[in-house]
Amino acid sequence: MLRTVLALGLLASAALAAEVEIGTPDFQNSLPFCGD
Amino acid sequence: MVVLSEEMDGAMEIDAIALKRHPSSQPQANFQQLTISMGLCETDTLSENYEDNYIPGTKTTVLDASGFTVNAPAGDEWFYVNLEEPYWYNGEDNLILEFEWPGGSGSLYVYHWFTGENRAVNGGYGSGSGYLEGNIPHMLLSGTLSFDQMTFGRIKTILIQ
Repeated sequence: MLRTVLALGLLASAALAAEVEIGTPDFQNSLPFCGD
Repeated sequence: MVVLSEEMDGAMEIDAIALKRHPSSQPQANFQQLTISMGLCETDTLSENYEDNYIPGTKTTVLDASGFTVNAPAGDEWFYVNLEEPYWYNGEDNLILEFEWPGGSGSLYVYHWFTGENRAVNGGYGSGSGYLEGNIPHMLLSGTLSFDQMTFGRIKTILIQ
């Protein structure tokens, strides 16, 4: 039972973390985030 | 700027935003004040008036800091801006991200991409409107995906089987 619970916990952790990438790099196109 | 719902991966809690530094950029910028807001938008393109783009009542301040320093030590690498307040994105509407700063020092250049549509508004600090353009930053929205009871129940069922 403990192993099942641990496995479930690991599965849940792995599924939760996420990074969504928006866009693609355009090497002709560098614009300021701050400054001039 | 507006991120379309189809570019997202469903509902998620957003904890940080990552941008990619251009090699010719300076490695650090200091903002006198930096405010980041997020909210929802019904349309795929924006209008010139900032507030008109939000679904009423959805604009939320996720970072509001004075004397804020952003470090981006390496070119072609992501750097992260951690939010003070996580933002819960509902996975259905388009998502607006708004950055405001009155001034600062250092020039931080990040990669952008051309969307082909009016998906960004740029203007002076404190101005109610700005000019439309198609370039928005290449970015990562970092956080945790939705994990509702139904999904959890399905995994539980699979393990029991």
